[in-house]
Amino acid sequence: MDYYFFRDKYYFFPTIISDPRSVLTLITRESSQRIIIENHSIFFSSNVVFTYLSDSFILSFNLFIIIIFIGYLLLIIKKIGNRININRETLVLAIYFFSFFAFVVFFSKTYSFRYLVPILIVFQIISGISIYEFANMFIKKNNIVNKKLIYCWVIAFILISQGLLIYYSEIKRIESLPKF
Amino acid sequence: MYVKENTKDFFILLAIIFVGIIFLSYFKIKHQMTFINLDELLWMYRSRFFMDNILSSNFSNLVQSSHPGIMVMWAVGPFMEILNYDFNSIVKFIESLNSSGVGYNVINDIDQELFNDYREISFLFNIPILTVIFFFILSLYYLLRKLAFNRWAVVFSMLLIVTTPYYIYFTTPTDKFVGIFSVLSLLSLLVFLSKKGNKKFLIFSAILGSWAAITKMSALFLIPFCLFAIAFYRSNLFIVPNFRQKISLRFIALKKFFSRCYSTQNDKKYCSIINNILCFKNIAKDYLLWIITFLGTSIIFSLL
Repeated sequence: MDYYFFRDKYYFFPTIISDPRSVLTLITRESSQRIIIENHSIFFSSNVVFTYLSDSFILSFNLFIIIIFIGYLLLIIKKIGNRININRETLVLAIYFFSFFAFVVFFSKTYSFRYLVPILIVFQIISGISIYEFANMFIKKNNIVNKKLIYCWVIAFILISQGLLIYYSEIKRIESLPKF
Repeated sequence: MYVKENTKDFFILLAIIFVGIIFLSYFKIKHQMTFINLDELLWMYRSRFFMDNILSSNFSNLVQSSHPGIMVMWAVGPFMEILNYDFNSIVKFIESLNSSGVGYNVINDIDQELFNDYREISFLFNIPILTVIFFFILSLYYLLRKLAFNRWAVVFSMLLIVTTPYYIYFTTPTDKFVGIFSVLSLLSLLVFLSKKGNKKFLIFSAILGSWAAITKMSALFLIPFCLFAIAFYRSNLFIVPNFRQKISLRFIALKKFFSRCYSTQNDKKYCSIINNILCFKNIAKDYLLWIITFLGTSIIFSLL
C-alpha cells in the first residue's frame, strides 16, 4: 500500500500512526535547529553583563534582590552546618532553582533566558521570603515594636524599585535579551 | 475568625492584582507595546487550526511543530473558534517574512500598518491567556499560604512577581504557560509532601506538571525532580538535626542487615529502620500515582 495514500485515506488517525516518518523528520530537524550547541560559554560571555549591568538602575535594584537571594541561601547553608531545623519547602525550591538551571544550561546547552522562566518565578518567590526573613532580623536586632511599619516600608521599597526599573530599563521582552 | 482571615486574604489578593494591572499598564505605555506580537498571533492561528481539526476529527493534521504548545492551543483555541477571525493576512505576512529571513518579533518595525490593525484586537485576543494568568495569581497565593509561609512573605513574593513584566506577561505564550504550570505543579507537590494537603494535591501536581510538559519539553525536568522531592520528604534522610548521627546509625543497620546477624528485638528495630531509610514502599506509591496521572493527562490532552 502506498504510504501517502494510507495517510490521506485514514486521516482520522494521528500523524504519529499514519505518517511516523514526517513526525520524526519534524522533530529531529527542528530540535537540532532549536537546541543549538554553541561555542560560547556562560563564563566567557559578556553580553548579558553589558546589557544588564550597564543600566545603573537595574544594577542598583535588581542586584539588590540578587544579593538578598544569595544572602538567604548562605543563611540556609549556615543553618544546615549548625544543624538547625530549616524550612524544607524553601530548601526544595532552592534546589529546584539550581538543578533546573544546571539542566537547561549545562545539560541542554540552551543559553536563552526564555528557557529559564519557570525558575525566574521561583527566584522571585524565594526572594520575597528572604526579604521577609531579613526584615525580621532587622526588627529583632533593633527591638522594633511596630513590625507592620517596617513591612509597609519594605512594600514601598519593592514598588518604587520595580517602578524605577520599568521606567529606566530599555529591555522590552525577555526574548530580546542576548544569549548568555 | 476564619471568615475574617479569608476576607483579609481576599482584599490582599485584590490589592496585588490591582498593583499588577497598574505596573503592566505602565510598562505598556512606556514601551508603546501591545499585548501581542506576530509570534503570539502565530500561536493564535495554530490554536484555531488545532480546534478546527479537533472538531472535524481530523487528528492527522495536528502535528505542526516539535515545539508542542498544546496547552496554549487548548486554552486559546475555543476562544479563537468563537471569534472566527480570518488569519489569512497573517499567514501570508509570515510566509513573506520567512522567505526574506526576518524574525517574527519585528512586526512594529516592518509593517506599521499591520501593527496598528492588530493593536486594536490585541486585548481581545489575549483574554484566554490573561484568564490563565489571573488564575495563576490566585492559585499561587493560595498554595504559598497553604505552605504556611507568613502572609507578609507571601505578599512580598507576589508583589515581585506581578510587578515584573517579563515572565508572565510579555513573553511568548509557551514560555508563560510552562512557567505558570511548572511552578504550580511544584508548589502543589510541596503542599502534599509537607502534609499540609491531602492526596488531591499530588494529583493536581501531576496534572499541572503534564500540562507544563506538553507545553514545552523543558518541563520534563519535573519527572526526575518529583522523585527527588518525594524521596527528600519520605526517606527522612535529609532532615537536618543530627544528620551525621542518622547517617552513621543507618550504616550500622545496613551492615547488620546484610550480615544477617540480627536476632534480638533491638536488631529487628534496626531492620525496620532500614525499611524507613529506603522507604521504597512510600516513595514508590506516591511516585507511581504521580507518574501515572502525569502520563494519563499528557496522553489525553495531547491526543497524539
